[in-house]
Amino acid sequence: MAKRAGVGATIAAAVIFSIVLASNFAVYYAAQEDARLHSTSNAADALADEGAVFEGAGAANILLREQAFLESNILDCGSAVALVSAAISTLKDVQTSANLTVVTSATPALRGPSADNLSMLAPFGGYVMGSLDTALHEEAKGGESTLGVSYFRNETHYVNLPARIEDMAGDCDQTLSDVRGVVSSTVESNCTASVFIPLIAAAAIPPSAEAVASGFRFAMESTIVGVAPCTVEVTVTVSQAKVMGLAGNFSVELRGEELVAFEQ
Amino acid sequence: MRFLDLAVAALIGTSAIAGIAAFSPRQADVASGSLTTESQLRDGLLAIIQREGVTWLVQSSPQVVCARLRDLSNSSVTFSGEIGSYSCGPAAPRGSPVAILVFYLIPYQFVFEAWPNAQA
Repeated sequence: MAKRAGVGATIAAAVIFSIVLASNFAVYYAAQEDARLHSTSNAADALADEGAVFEGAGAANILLREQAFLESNILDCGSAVALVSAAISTLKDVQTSANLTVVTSATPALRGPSADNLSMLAPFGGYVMGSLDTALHEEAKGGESTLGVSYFRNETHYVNLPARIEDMAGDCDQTLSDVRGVVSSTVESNCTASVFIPLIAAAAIPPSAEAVASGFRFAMESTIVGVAPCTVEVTVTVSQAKVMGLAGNFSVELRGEELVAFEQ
Repeated sequence: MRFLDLAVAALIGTSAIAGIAAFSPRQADVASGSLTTESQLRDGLLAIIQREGVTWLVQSSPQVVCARLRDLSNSSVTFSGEIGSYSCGPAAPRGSPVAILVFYLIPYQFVFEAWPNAQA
């Protein structure tokens, strides 16, 4: 009888402990599944956060390089727009981490939305007519393969620097064109500065006034470089000071040179 | 015979307790909690960058950025940073959940860290 009771107690203990073990394992499995879901969601959240920061940083680096290019070069009036566009098209930024790569490439923007959701880049976000506008193509690729999380994003953002290259080039070209027009139609036998300077200065008054009214600095120099025929080299400089840039205010300068000859 | 019964019962009991200890859900719960905290901390770091703006980061000296991180730290969270070779704030305590964001902004690499304070 005692033996049976002992066997019964042992079996009962085995059953009870098995139930406890099975229940514990069920909770353990649920907790493991919960942890796996948390890991997956955390990885996805980390990629999204990192992606947002990389996009902002990539856009900022492109704008900083544009600013450095404008600051360090005096651009020719006739080719300034094309030169700047070509320079923008070469700009690229790559931000990488263990799980994510964001490549940002730039192209000049001819049109675009005035508002952009790259809020961390304020006030340079969005397209602004007349400014130096850039379209940023951002490609994000990454993932956490062990968790089966992948991240892909292709976006285009618009940013601007308030450097008015087209307006400046227009004023500069207009001045040279007006001076050329006046000089080529003037018959002058006396090739001296006292004769040509007032003529050239008068021809430059309307376009220079327009440049100044637009907020630009305007300067013009003329030098005799030949007497037969009477040839004058005219240099026009149009600059925009205190352009607000990502790295602080900077200046942009455009310069145009032209040889003009008086009829003699 | 009684000895054998006791030995079998003890074996079953010990195995069960060992099984419960080995398959403890506690560890997974702690890991989940830690990941949730990390995610919240990273969102906090992102919010700082979005609110202050990249322009501010570019135009401010490493010292100013660090001072701002110090200001934003409070009783529940600590922010620290490394901007180029300049670092500020204490090191994250070992074992604590830490959120890290690393990015490059000409001319510096920025490393922002956040972790919860012990009493939080």
